[in-house]
Amino acid sequence: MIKMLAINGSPRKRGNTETVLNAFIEGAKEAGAKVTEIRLADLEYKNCRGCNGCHKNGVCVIKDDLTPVFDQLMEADILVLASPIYSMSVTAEMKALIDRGQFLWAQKFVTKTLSFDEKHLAKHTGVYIGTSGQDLPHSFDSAFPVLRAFFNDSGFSYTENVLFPGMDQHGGAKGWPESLVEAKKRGKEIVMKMKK
Amino acid sequence: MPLSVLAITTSPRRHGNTESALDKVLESFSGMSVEKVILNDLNIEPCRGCGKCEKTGVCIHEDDFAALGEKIRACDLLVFASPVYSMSVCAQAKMLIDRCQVFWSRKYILHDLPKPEGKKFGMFISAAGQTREGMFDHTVPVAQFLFDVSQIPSSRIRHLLLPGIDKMGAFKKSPEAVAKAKEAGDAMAALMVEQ
Repeated sequence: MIKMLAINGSPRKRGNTETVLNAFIEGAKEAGAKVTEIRLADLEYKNCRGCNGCHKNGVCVIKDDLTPVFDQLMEADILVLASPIYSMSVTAEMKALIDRGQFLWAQKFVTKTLSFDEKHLAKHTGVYIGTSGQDLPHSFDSAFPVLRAFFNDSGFSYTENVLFPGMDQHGGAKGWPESLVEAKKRGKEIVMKMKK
Repeated sequence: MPLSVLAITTSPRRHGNTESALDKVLESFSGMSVEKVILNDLNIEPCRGCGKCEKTGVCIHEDDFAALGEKIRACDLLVFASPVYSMSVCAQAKMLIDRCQVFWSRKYILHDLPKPEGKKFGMFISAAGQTREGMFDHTVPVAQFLFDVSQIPSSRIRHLLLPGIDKMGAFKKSPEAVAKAKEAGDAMAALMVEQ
């Protein structure tokens, strides 16, 4: 069975990001995936301290609600990161998760205790679900590399973007039923692709 | 009244490379009133995305952002310093910038953000461990958001971007980086005095 971990970085409950994410998850479940959802705003966690403790032994010095999330993440076949665009990037909550992934980077490049071969990467997919209020030509451009850094460090091939720019002009996800149809379809397709 | 400089260091690491570069730059502003804020010492909650500020122009949080936000609006020069973490500003910096949504709401939705009294200037300082091309391309637009909602026009914003400054103490050990910081500080001070 395909295991999907969906991490929602939006602080807003029942907002646009959560609404399209739910539609995406519905599609994924229809395709037979087992889905676990995590809402970052419900967790208590600290920002990376930049202490470089992980550069010595590959372990983060901070133990909090994110610690088990990283365990779950390493078990998933599909990792979904969902975040609206706030000030030209992912939300502070999502950025805090991504910065805390530094210990994985350290394991890969400093302690050299973690590596992902082609076979692993072929079986692990990274998905970004993004929303933005405004429909600017480069709305998501500064978020992509941040997400890519995290997917690379955690062993997921970042191949899928599910993007919904211009939420404001549509009156949000609820005023834009096509966005939900599209999200559900993509959820289903991405799981089906993994099953092949 | 001397010109006022508000410098915000956002790195979780004290006296690291980004902060050292900031300190070097601040040496250029003798004669001005300089305040340096250590963001990590403040209590600032993340933006909840509740959208209240779009209606009221006021943030629902009551924390240290209120006072810092006033300082951001009042200063003549805003110097903002963040290291590059995972291809962007650090999460601490992002948290502050997301809270500036209240300025965005007042500027673009409510149209009631008072115009600054004098000319405002901005400077973004960032150090990155790596040297690969485009290292700062996705960090600068986030800082640019802060300057935009702080009503600082692009023509009066300067960047000090230092790639390949990796290990603890690397900035101070690099005569080129130190010279670059001094030059950037001096150029900004001259620009402010001239205008």
